[in-house]
Amino acid sequence: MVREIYVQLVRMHPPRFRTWFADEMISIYDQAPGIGLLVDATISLFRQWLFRPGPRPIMAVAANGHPDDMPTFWMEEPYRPSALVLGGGSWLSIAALSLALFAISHGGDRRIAFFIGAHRPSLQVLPFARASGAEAELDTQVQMGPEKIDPSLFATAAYFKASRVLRALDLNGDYTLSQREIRLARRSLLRLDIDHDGRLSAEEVGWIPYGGDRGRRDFFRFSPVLEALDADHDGELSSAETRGAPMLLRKLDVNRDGALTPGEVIPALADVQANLLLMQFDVDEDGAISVEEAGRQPRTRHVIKSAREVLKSADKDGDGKASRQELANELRLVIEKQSQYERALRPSR
Amino acid sequence: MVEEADHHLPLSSSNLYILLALAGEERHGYGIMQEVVRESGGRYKLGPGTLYDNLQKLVASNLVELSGRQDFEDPRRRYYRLTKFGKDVLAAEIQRLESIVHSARLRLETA
Repeated sequence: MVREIYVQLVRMHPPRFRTWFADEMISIYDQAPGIGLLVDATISLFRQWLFRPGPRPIMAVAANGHPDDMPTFWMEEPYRPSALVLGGGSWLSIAALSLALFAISHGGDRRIAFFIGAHRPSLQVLPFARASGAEAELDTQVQMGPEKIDPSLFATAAYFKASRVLRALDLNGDYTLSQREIRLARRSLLRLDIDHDGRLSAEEVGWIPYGGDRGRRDFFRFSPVLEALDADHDGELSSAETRGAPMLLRKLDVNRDGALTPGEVIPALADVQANLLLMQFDVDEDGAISVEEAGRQPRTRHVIKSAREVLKSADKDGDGKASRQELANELRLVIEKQSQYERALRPSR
Repeated sequence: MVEEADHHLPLSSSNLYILLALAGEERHGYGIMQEVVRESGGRYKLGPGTLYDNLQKLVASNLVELSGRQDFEDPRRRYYRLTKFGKDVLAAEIQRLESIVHSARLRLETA
């Protein structure tokens, strides 16, 4: 394997060098193989292409091996552009291409307004106003009516705008965290590190100080992205957590498509409500609400009654407590029932 | 073409060692590398890339040439030897080094 790499390195040398010395270099490798020869061949490769533009060597072989004999033949390679010129041109091309790619990939978060027909439309996908043809020319008049914009897009856009972390992660502003954006998550997150201490405090990721330590932890719990990133649930993102951000974020990829779509980073209504209930009732912060906790809170009788009903119904494992997951599942059912009821009341067309 | 030995002086370390290795007898590339290590007491080692880069220049400058000797053990090997001009250049370099050593000794003695 190492020999094969060495042979390939030797073969990549300029023809004027390779023709004369490749076999000998490989012969030396066969005589005394070693990793050091790989380094030597690599350096030689760059040296020959960049710093040995010619002229082509003229090799004379003396007849009968006697120094004073006239050479029996001369060899010279055909003319071609200087290796320095070729090498310089190649490097310039690579540099220009890299610069262009860098500019494209780091063009800021300005969105391109003409992504008509994109798979993941953003709010910038505006209805395409097109005039119909003249009546004299066409028998049929075609008019493009205003396209309906999915109302959930507004909610998605609002959520992304409100979330400092999502704004930082979503580099191209398409409300989806692509594989590349997930891969670059650490770098994106560190842009929020105002005090440059390598950690992201709750304030740096958008928490408005309210509710003390409990408020800080609840803030992280409300955002699936922040909750996933805050692996130790201490209410801040340590340097280890930002370093492992790509891996932590991939845990949110429920459909395993490699990207995080809005449905995977924006909490469902049931999850938000479950978190709100936990915020209000989960006194011991064990991530579940017991009937006693619900009863101790100084809420209105109506709220307590509703909460108790939900808790009772949600407690599927019968341990006397409703965990966040149980609450969210129960609330999802409640929301679905409510939605069905509203649909049934709506007059049919 | 008039070739001035002085025009090639001073020789670089690698060129000097290569010419010295070839001064005694004609050698193939690996033989030159081994001789350089021996001459320098292991302090100077030439990789094949550096060796053939220098050999290329030495051949182009007519200081070294292919001898045409065949190696039946490994036909890929080719033997190199000094040209007459190469010997002149090596002799001029040694003379130059000797004069430096001489003048250095004189200075050290008077210091």
